[in-house]
Formats: sequence, C-alpha cells, structure tokens
Amino acid sequence: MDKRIRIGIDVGGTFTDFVLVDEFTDQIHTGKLLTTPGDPSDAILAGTERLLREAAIDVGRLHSVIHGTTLVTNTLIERKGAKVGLITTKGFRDTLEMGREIRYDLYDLMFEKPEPIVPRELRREVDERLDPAGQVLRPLRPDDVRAVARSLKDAGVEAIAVSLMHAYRNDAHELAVQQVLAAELPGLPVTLSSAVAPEIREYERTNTACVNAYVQPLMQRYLARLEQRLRDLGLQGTLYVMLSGGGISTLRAAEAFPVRLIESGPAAGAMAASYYGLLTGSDHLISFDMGGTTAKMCLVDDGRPEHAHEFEAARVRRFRKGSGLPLKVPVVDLIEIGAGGGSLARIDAMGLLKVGPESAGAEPGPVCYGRGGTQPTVTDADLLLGYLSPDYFLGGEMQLVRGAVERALETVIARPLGLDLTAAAAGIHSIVNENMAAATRMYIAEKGRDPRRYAMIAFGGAGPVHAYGLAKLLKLNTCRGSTISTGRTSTGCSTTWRAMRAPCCSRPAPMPLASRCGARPTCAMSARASRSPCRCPTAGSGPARSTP
Amino acid sequence: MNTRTDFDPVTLEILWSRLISITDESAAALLRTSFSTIVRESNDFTTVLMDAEGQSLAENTAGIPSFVGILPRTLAHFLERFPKETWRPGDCVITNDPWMATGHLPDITMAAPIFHRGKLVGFSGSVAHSPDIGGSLWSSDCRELYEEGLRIPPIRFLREGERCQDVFDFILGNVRLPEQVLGDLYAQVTSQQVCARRLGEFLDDVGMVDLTALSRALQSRAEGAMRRAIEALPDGVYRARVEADGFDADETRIECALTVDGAKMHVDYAGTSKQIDRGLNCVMNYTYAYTVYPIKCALDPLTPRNEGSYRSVTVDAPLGSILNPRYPAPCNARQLTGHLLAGAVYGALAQAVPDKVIAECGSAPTMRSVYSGTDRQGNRFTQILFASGGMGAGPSQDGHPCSAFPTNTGAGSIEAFESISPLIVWKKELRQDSGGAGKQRGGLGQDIEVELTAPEAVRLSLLSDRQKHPASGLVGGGPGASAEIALGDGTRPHPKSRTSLKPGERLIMRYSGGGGYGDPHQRDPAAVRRDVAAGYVSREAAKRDYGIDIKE
Repeated sequence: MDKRIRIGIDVGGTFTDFVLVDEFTDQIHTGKLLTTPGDPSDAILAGTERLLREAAIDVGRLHSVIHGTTLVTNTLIERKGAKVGLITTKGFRDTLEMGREIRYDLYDLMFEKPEPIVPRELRREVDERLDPAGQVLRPLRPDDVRAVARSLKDAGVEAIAVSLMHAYRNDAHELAVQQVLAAELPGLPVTLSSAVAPEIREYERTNTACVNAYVQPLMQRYLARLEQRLRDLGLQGTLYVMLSGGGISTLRAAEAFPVRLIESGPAAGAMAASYYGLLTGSDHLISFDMGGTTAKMCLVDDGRPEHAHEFEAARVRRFRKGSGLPLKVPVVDLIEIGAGGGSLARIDAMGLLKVGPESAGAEPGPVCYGRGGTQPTVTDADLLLGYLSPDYFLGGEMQLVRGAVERALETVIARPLGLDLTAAAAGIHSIVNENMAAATRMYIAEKGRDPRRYAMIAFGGAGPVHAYGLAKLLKLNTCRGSTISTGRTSTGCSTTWRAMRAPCCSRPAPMPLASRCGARPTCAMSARASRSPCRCPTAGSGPARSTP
Repeated sequence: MNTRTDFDPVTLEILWSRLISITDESAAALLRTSFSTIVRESNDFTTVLMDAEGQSLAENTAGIPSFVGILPRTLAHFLERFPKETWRPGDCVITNDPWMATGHLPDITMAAPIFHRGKLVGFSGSVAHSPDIGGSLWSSDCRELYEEGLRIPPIRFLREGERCQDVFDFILGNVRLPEQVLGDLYAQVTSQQVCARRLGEFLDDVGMVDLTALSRALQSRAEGAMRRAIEALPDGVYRARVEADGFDADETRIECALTVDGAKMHVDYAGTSKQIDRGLNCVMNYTYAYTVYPIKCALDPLTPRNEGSYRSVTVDAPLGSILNPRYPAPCNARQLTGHLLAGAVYGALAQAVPDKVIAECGSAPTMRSVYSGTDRQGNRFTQILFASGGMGAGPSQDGHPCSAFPTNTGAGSIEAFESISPLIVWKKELRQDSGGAGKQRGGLGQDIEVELTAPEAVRLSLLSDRQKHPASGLVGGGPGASAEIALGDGTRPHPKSRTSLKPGERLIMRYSGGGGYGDPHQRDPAAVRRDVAAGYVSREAAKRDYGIDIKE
C-alpha cells in the first residue's frame, strides 16, 4: 500500500480536534483548538496550519483532509436553517405536523412536540397521485407546479423540499416537479424525497427531505468556503467529509445530501473504536464513551459498528425516544444517555438518590472545578472516592477543589439521606454505573445479543473511571482502556479512510497542539474484570476499583 | 447470603431500577420475537414482575395504560384455580377472560412462576393483544360475549415446560391466523423466561434469597409518593358527569364522584348508565385501570409503578352498570366507554387542581375503521386504520393535534396501509376549527377520506362515538368539534356498525377535536392570528369564538 499523510478534523461543540497521520514516519500528531462557532473554518485553517508547521510537513504532501462536523445537528437544534417550502401531494400537507401521532411520554400530560421543520403556511399541495405500485392515479399538471413555485417564491423561501406519495416507488412526478422548479426558480436548492430517502413511510421520508433542504444552503456555503480556504493554503489532496454511517464522502455528494452528515462526529468515534478493536484483536466490542454530559455505547462486531437506517434528531427531550425528528439516514447505531461526569446528583420525591440526566455542563461544571457549582456531580463523587487525582486533572492543568465538594455532598446528599460522605459518593458512582448498565442491556437486548460475549473499550473524560464498574455489571470478561480520549473522533476521521497502519498513541487530555508521540503500539491496557458477583455498596464493599 | 430487612436510599434506587430494567428487557424479548404487527407496531402489550404473593413489583416502562395494575388481579384468579403449592418450574397459565383480565377477549394474559434455588420467589406476567381470537372481528354491536370470540378460562398452557397439546390445538383451531397467534403466544412465554432468568441473576448478584423484604420496601415508597400527592389536594367530594353517544337510544352517562380524604382517594361511579346488550361494556378491571392511569398522570407522573402506586386509590362502580357489567355482557369495544373515564376524572379533579389536568380529548374514544375482505389478487386482508382526534388543551399549552389520550396507539404510514390493502387514502389532513376554543385551544382532529379500489365490496366495521357529544372544554373552554362519518353519496353509516364499502365508494371520516381550556377571550390575540395564518382556525371562528376580527 502506498504511504500517505492524512489529517482528520472533528469540529465539536467546544473543541476542534486534529489528528495528522504520517505513514512515512509512522507517527501521528494531534492538536486541539477552541471551535469558532461564527465560522468553523477559522479554527480548521488555524489548526491545520499549526499542525503542519509543528510536524514540519508541507501542505502539498497531504493526501487528504477528512472532516467531521456537528454543524448539521447544531443548525437543526438551534433552528437556524433556511426558510424551506414543501411541495406535497394533495391531501397530505399535514403529514409533517401529524407525525406518528404518538405520545412519547405516557405519563406527562404537558409533553411538547417538536415544531415541524416547515410551517403550515409554507406547505403547498399539487393535485397528483400514485398508487403503491407506482401507477399514476392522477397525473401531475405542470401548470399547478408553476403556480405553487411562484407562490413559494413570493413567500421568500430559500430552499424547497418535494415529497409526493409513493415517490419511493416511482420518482417521475417528483422529477417533473424538479424540472418546473429549475425553470421557475433557477438556482434555488431543491431536495427530492425520492433522491434523499427513497423509502416507504411518508412522514419519515418527507421529514428527511425537509431537513435536508433546511440545512443545505448553509452547508453548501460552508463546505465551499472551507474547500476554497484549504486550496488557498495549498492543499492539493482531496477534502472528504465524514458521513453518519461511518463512511466518507466527497464534497459534491455531501452538498447534495447534507442531512447524511448529521451524526458525523459520533460515527467517526465509532470508527475509531472499531479500529482499536482490530488493533487489540477484539471481535466483539462495546465501545463506551463517557463525557461530561452523556455516555454513548456502540456495539462493534468483527470490526464493524452496528448500523441503523433511521436516526432521531433534535429531540425536544434529549434522552427521550420519540421526542425528535425521525430521519431516514444510514447511521452508526449507538445509544446515548444522560450519564456523564457532569451529571447532577439529587434526591427525588421518594427520598431516593438519582443521578442525571441533568448536567452541570461546562459552566459552572462540577463543584470541584471551583467555578460556582453547588450541586454534586459524578466527577465530584469520583474525586472524593480517589478515582481522580486533584493534582493531575486535565494533565495537571486544572486544580480540583476537594473541600467545596465535601461541603456540597454533605449538604445536598449525605445528610438528608443519613449517609456518610464516602457512602454518598459511592452511591453516586454506583447509580450512574447502574443507569448506563440498564441502558446498555436494553440496547443489546433489542438486538438479541448476549453482552457477555463482548469486551469493552472505554473513551471520554469519564469513561475509563467508570468502565470497570460498568463492565462488571454487564458481566463482561474484558475491559480495555485506551488513554486516547480527546481527539478520538478526529482519529476516527482519519482511520476510516482505511485501516490505519500507524500505531495509535495516547496521552491525557487535552494535548497541546501537535504533541509528538513516540510511535509504538501502546493502545490497550487490558484488565480482567472480576467474575465475582457484584455487590451494592451497602452489601459491605466499596465500589470496585479498576486495575490501573 | 443474608436476608435484608431495610434498605438505604442508594441501594433501593439501584435495586428498583434493576427490577424495572428486568421487565424492560423482558418486554424487548416479547417485541423481538412476536409475529404480529399489532404487537410490533402498536406496542399493545405489557410485562410485569410480581412477588411471591402476586403483588406487582415492576412494570415495563412503556407498558400501555389499559393494562395498568391488572395483572396482579388476574394472577389472583390463577392462584385461586391453581393454589401456590401446585405450581412447578416451567408452568405457564393463560386466560383471556375479560372479567379476570383486561376487559376484552383479544388480550391474552399469561403468568409463569419464578423459582430461585428451589423456592418460589415471584411471577412473571405478560399481556399482549392477539392478532385474532375468532368470533366477530373487532366490532361494537355483538349482543353477548359468546359472539365476540373464543374465551379461554384460566388454564395451564405449559406444564413443567411441556406444552399442553390439547389446549394448543383447541386455541389454534378457533382463530383465523393460527401461525401469528401461536408466534405471539410463544413470544409471551419467551419474555417470561427472560424475566425469570434475569431475576435469578439479580438475586444472586445482590445476595438475596427472595424478594419479600425488597418488595415491601419498594411498594411502601411508591405508596408513599402517591399518598403525598393526594394529601396535597384539598379534602372534599368532587363530581363530574360525562356523556357519550352510546348505542342508538342508549346514551352513555358517566357519573363520577371523586372523594379526597387525607391521603386516600376514592372514585365512585354510582349513577352511571346500566350495562347494555352491545359491546360497549367496560369490566371493573378496565374501569379501574382507566381511572387510576389519568390520576397518576396528573398527580404522580414520575414514580415508577408497582402495587403500592395503586393502594391509595379505590374505585367502585355499581354491579350491572356499564362500568361493572355482569357476565356475559359483550365488551369487545370497551374502549368506547373506558376512554371516557379520563375526562370524568379530570372534570372532577379540575375543581381541586385545575393546573394539573387537561380538557377532554377528541381522541377519547378515538374513531376506528376496520376493513376486511379480498384484495385485487384475491388474498384475504384485514386492516385497521389507526388515526386519532385532538387532545384536550392544558393550563399552559394548546392541545396536541391528532394524539390519543388516554390510550396511545399512534398511527401508521398511509403508504404502508395502501400497500397491504386495496384502499386509497385521498386525504389525511388537519381539520380546521375542530379544536375547542379557549385561552388554550383544543387540539385539532383530522379529516380522512378512504376509497375502495378492489373489484368487490369489503366489510367495514366502525367503532366511534362523539357524534352527539363532543369533547368538553375545561375552566371556561369550549368543546371540540363532533365526529362525523359519511359515505361519498352523503349517507351516514351507523357509527357503531358492521356494514360494507362498495368498489369506488368513498368513506369520509371527520375526527373530533379536543376541548379548550380557559376563557377564549383571554387567548393571546397573536396566537389567534397565528392560528388563522396557519389555517387551524378560520376567520369566521376567530371572530365568533375569540372576538378577533382578522382582515384578509
């Protein structure tokens, strides 16, 4: 195989991560910059330049740049996309608003539903109809389409989605609509449901087409600008983007179907996990990624992460299935639950200890950050239990405050529950593990698999601390901790290209930009989890300690 | 190995969530192994873990409201028939008796004992809506239970893991879709086995020999949560009446007296209509479930459910009334009566806690149309069109359009519906002006038009109400629009009939809207304008109901 130099870039909500893989020298270089939300390409450019400079590599030698981004997700969550008009079959303009007619929370009378991505005023009908075999029941009249096109133009739409009944079976009518639109509204981006998601079920397909149209103008501008700036920098290699399904795509394809980038970050993470699975010879792997707010679990079998054909975006309640917008896009199938280092501990109405899904976030963060947090979190409990070193958090860049944690835990949890400090902290630690174990068991049970066949590999700021306890609850035999936590996603971007031959390296997070690592295999430290029955803290033992 | 007697708040939280997780995993197994679409797509099932006394410990998270709290009652009947000491590992008992179980024949209830180290420690139970149970299809016009299908009294389905062949043959010889029915029965057995296995592992993991102490602790927590919620209400007797179309001249009247006395609540339906010789009768178990469920939603939505959740609420209805009929009253369409109870309970509760309840729902009961016949290829088909009216408005938000409450069956895809039946749906859209006027507007119903494209007529069964009695508003809100059903030629079919649809004929169904909440004149004028701009409300209605004149 030819040797290559590649850069993987992942733009996250807070940080933009970089990994440069140099197969000539078998070295990788990593870096991290704050994301520039106004124009994410600012940080990308700055980071790429610095990484190349520090690695002393000429930009012209780059074979490719592979990019993962949360821009699509964020645009949807923040509802900052284009003004979209929808053209649909007569009698079905409310499909988008009626959805599946399900209450996603059985006991909450006041639940909220997501707003449809196209408001009713901008949903227009054309009098046409196909039957399920794709035969025409009512022909499409171009004049109708022209009238609708003009009215949408007058309404000032910036993109159009077309979704007609049974178009997954026969796209002739949608193509005819597209032709009229091209003549009437030249230059306006148009998404056909039969092109973006040719699958039966009108609500999901229509929704997917609308979301694609919604993010398309912004993504087209962004990707074009990014490519131009990288070219100006001297890039001769190819710019790829990471897709939600774990593959990569050229810019042209991504511009047509930006909705397929929606889970590009987590997909890259899963691909990195797959790669570590290959490195460590694990055929059946549970990738476990626990960050500040969430924990993500993904099954990887024979080097391939689990896939799904539908993804639910922009949930009204983040961790509640059914509260978001279903999209027909290929994605890496993972679960995400509200369990992270920042998850808050509290006492519920029944006097029981609960942890999460509410999170202290980055601000104020856990009590131990000393930034004004008063509600104890998982990280605070981990500190008190001795899992975290107050002097070597973030590689020693941040001093953790123990005194404030003790006071907060005492007031909020220990005293009201009649527990001592250690028992309260151990309780928080155990309960978050239990929450993750329950979610993982369900995720695995829904696929009909047996968790005991799997090894676990842990990532994320809080992952390694909780991996051992979680693995024990799931009765796994093997638990691996890669100390790469930061930059995993960008690593995923670059490893997806092909099984990366350069060995991986690891460091505590965050790394200064372009830390050079001596490159020899050190990926996984393996600890055999105990097979003995697990016990609750009150059964007499403290929480299990992971073997370093 | 020790038997604990008390549990600290950390341990209890952990053990509780594990038990719920066991029932959820058991539900996942049922879902994954079932053969029928009604289980897989409509989620019409539940799984429950009970202790050795037959009291419920945990229910699966997504268990549907009509099964709330019923399984322990069914198990009590099982234990009467088969005393506890006669149960052996691998046994499984089955019934679909409406009075002992969930109120109509299609629901199959099963329970299996869980033995741990040789000792009976609990029972795993499940209910699932069977794809067929013989008899008259789904309809509301039968005169007796016997017409409605096969009744299975409590009977052993498996004995020590071996199937009781005579029982199998008998059931499968009486249903239209024996393969699907059998597949679903085994899915229930499988889910119970998963539950038993996981419970065994759980007991080993935590070092307990049985569930006695834990069960007591969990039930007392859940009971305490509900008691505190009831205690927060002012004492008193709150009354409400709900009326519905019933069958022909026999209109349904629900009289609800809800008494709050300290930490206890009693709901009495004295004065309610007598039972009738049509399938609208609602057995006591179902009456109980649909009384307790809306109460829990309003007062204590977050606590996980177990036996303790239901202890503080008692429910009574006169024997021989439509809410507590005598055997063998027909009860196949009991949802047309049972779903009304949420509105009665909220009408009463609104006098005590108006900010915790919602107005009546157009989707309670919702309209169902069932089509059965032969398609263009000559194959038999039966299809139910699932769709809902609007929800009632709440104190701080408009009612959701097209959402079912208190049930939650959802709606499938029209493209999928058309793909498996010779029917074309020409329209499925929001129904303008169907939401009850109010400070918060009721949710809109919908308009649906269906045409038969097969060469021969199909049987059509209609199950609907709310033509004469729309969903009422609350606290000054107006009623939603009434339901309407018509054929293309303008004739009006009986709303609870079995009739037919001819080739090329259209069925036009207008689903009712939810009631409004609060005085319409207090509605934010900007919200009225938005409603008019979107077409949810017409200009005329804006002027008439809200006093707001909106120019072109």
